[in-house]
Amino acid sequence: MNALQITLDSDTRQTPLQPRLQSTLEGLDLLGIAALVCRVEDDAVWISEANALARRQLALETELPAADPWQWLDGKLQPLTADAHPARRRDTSAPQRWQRYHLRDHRGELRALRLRCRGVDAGGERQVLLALDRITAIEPTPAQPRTRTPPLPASLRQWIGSLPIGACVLDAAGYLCLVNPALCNFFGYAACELLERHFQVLLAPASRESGQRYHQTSLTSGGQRSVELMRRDGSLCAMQVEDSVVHYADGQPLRIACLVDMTAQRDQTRELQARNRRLEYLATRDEMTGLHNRRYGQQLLEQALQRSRRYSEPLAVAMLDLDHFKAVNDEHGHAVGDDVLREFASLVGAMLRQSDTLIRWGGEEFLLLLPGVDRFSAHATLDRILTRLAQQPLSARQLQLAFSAGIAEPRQATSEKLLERVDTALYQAKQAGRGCITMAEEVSQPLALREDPEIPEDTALPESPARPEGPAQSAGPALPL
Amino acid sequence: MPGCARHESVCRRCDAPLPFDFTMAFQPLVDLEGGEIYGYEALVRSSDGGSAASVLGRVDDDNLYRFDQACRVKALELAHRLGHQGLLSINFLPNAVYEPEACIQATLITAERLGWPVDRLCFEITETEKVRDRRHLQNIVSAYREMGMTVALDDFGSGHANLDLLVDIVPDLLKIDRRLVDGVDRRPRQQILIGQIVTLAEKLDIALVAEGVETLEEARWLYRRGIVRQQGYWYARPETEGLPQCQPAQFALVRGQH
Repeated sequence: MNALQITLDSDTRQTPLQPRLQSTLEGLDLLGIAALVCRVEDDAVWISEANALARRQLALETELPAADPWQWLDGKLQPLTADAHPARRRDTSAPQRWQRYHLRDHRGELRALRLRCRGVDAGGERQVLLALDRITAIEPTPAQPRTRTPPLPASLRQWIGSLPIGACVLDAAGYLCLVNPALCNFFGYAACELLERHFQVLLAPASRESGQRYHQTSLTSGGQRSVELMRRDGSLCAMQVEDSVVHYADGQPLRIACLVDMTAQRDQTRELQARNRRLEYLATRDEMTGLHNRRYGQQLLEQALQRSRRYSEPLAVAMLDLDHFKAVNDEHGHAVGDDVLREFASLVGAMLRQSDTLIRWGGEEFLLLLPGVDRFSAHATLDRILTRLAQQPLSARQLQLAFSAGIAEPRQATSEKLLERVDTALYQAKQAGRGCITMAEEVSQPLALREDPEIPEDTALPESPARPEGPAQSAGPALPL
Repeated sequence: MPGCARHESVCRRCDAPLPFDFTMAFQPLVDLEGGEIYGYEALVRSSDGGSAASVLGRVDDDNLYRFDQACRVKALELAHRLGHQGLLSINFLPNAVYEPEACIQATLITAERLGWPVDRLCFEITETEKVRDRRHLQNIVSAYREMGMTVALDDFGSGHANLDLLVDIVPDLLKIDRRLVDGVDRRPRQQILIGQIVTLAEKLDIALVAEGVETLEEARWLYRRGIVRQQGYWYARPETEGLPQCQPAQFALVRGQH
């Protein structure tokens, strides 16, 4: 049959070639084919243009034009002589058939690919357009020239093809001679995309090096191992590889690898770990408010006390108790009560520093640890929170709530003694009419909740009691008002 | 791979079964100079041998590109099964190239799977009135040609498949629309128009094919005007899942060597 006699060389066409060449590069990119334009200048090969896919797949980071950055090897991994470089070939006026090459970059990374080249005339200058396909990163296989493997026996093909699990046959150099439908299906490739490619294309980047070592040993003894593989879409999967070795009549070994997906088992392990983390969360957190729970809060308190002692740092500990919370539960139900607690917790949390810790101590009681802060600053902080709470009705029922709080500093006390003092202060605050903050020890005069929430907050700082040590205002908690 | 939605085994979009069945018919493309059939155009038919319209009526926006893709794959598979060795011409919806999910690669993969050399594939760009982005189409056409495939512009000289399209797109082939061909031997105006297309194609180095050649007189007129590649009922009707042949005498008749 008579093929169409149409010249593919564009130099006889009317439109200029340069935009056409650009268009070809972009079109090849859409077809999933990497492409380069090369020229020879001063006896050196230069890359003058590359499409996006070529840049990505060949890790071409430099600005173009640039000198050819690769060592070129042929399909058998033998270095090319200078004249055999595709860009120097003279017989390229018509496009060539696909040929196998290898490229090694300056980092020593080796890629297998197939290539076809065509001479183009760019503005009177001869350039070569290289189309590169099936670019696969591989580990070098020194002293193992790739020899064409004879066809596999039909029985082996049939047997492997019918296996319900993924299976493939690799030659000594690691190239895929046979892949079965189950494997193609699993990895998302068409069989023709995998055949003649190096098996590295199926490995996750992290397992490539070990994969190459394992390949060598499996050729003599077979074996099994777990390995992380990569599907075409880039997703990783944990596989168990079971190998056996068969030999051609000439003694050439072939590796038959069967793959079992272990991702489910691995995911099960991960799920178990996640569940353990969840348990840990449940053990340390109060589920409803997301705050630390009392049990873990006790540990946190001990730690805070130790730290305060060790570094002679001030520490303020406060107990907050929502006023008339029982009435909320009784009048509006427990669902509203829960909402109130959650919203209160998040409101207070939002007004604290990163280093402060709020603990749900139980019921409507919250323990607050303010490291690096004395009781006066703590008082100011709580007063600000009280003011903010007065402006912020809680829950869908828009309930106006207040809290009472007792504050104490540890002063070498044990946690039990400290909590006793805090509780006493809280009791005093409650006695003083609720909505009050009371400091243990010296101060017994509670500051009443201000009646005038209209005052702008930045000017509404409560009259702080005298500060004996007089710490700078900035040492107090930073409040995101 | 950019431009392709293939992932996780196969492409769920292109490979999902279509809600209807269809098959392909083949019509010869003759080369009068060589006196032979140089290729076949694949045409859609319903699976019971009915017309293309009954199938195309079931194609909607949802399955358009899947259908386009499936047509190319089916045409290749059938032509391969029928033992065709020449050029295979396949229609190609231009807007498919804007849809990454149209999986242009699937055609290449099919060709490779069947061992079908891509330089025996010709894509006929149809429905050019719907071309939205010519630059994009130009890129695809350049890339197809670079890979060795042939690109034809279908229905040239009618509707929107017109001169200005050649500003951006460089095809290998123009297929002259049947409306220009119909009765050309007796209609001087059409003769002038076709004469101009011949001149233009020569200068732009683009080959011509006349479609819809239905009478010996038309075939002769076109041959004398230098259009040696022709297609139409006069040579052979499309045959469903078959490769219709022509009589050597037909070529001789057209060339006037009887």
